[in-house]
Amino acid sequence: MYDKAWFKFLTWSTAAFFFLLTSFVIMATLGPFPSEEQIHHWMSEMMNAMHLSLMAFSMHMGEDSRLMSIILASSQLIIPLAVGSFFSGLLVRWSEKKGGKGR
Amino acid sequence: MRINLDFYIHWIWTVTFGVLAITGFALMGARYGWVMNYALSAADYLHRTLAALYVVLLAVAVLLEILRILIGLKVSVWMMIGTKPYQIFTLITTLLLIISGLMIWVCMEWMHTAVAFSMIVHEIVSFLALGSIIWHLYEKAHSLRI
Repeated sequence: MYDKAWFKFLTWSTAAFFFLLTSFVIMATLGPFPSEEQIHHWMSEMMNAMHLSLMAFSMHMGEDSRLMSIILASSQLIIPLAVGSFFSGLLVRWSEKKGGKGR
Repeated sequence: MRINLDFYIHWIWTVTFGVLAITGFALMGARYGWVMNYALSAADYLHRTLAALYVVLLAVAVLLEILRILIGLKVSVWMMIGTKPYQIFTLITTLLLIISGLMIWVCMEWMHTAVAFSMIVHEIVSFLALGSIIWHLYEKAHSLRI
């Protein structure tokens, strides 16, 4: 796979993207402080974005809709599951090192 | 040549993280808003939608890792999380980004202290993660000799 053209294209294009993004972030971080006008422009866009985003989510899903309830419940389950799975895995590895059930 | 599930997870994760990074930096402040031409509504909506996908990807990756530990499931070098240092780093940064992001989303209306703290964590970890990706690319380019 590693010598295939599609793999090289995939990896190099991804690398180019992240190099570019990091360069822009570094230049913006080290660059001049934004002007008053830029700051106000960003702030007004941000207030607009927050308002629209919250509206969009509630419009698409409805505040009392079952879909919204399912999505909220699922998202509240997934994170504890992910964290719990990780620590369970650590426990299993620890027990294996202590002479428990092997792989 | 056999391509496993973890290969697909790796590249879906990469694309998702890339778009999350662009939209996230646009939302970070006036310094970076130009990355998406100040289209912050689109950035915010896209960021939240892809964040949900990011959580699902983490859950799948953790499940694969647990299956590897418990039943010896065969995984390849493309696995996102595991016992190698960068895999552990990826897991920790992903969890921090998800938890802080969730706090920003949920607490926005009623607990601004939590939002402020979460924003600092979210911002700093995203810078660290982006920097680590450059290291990751360099390291893999040399180890894979591509």
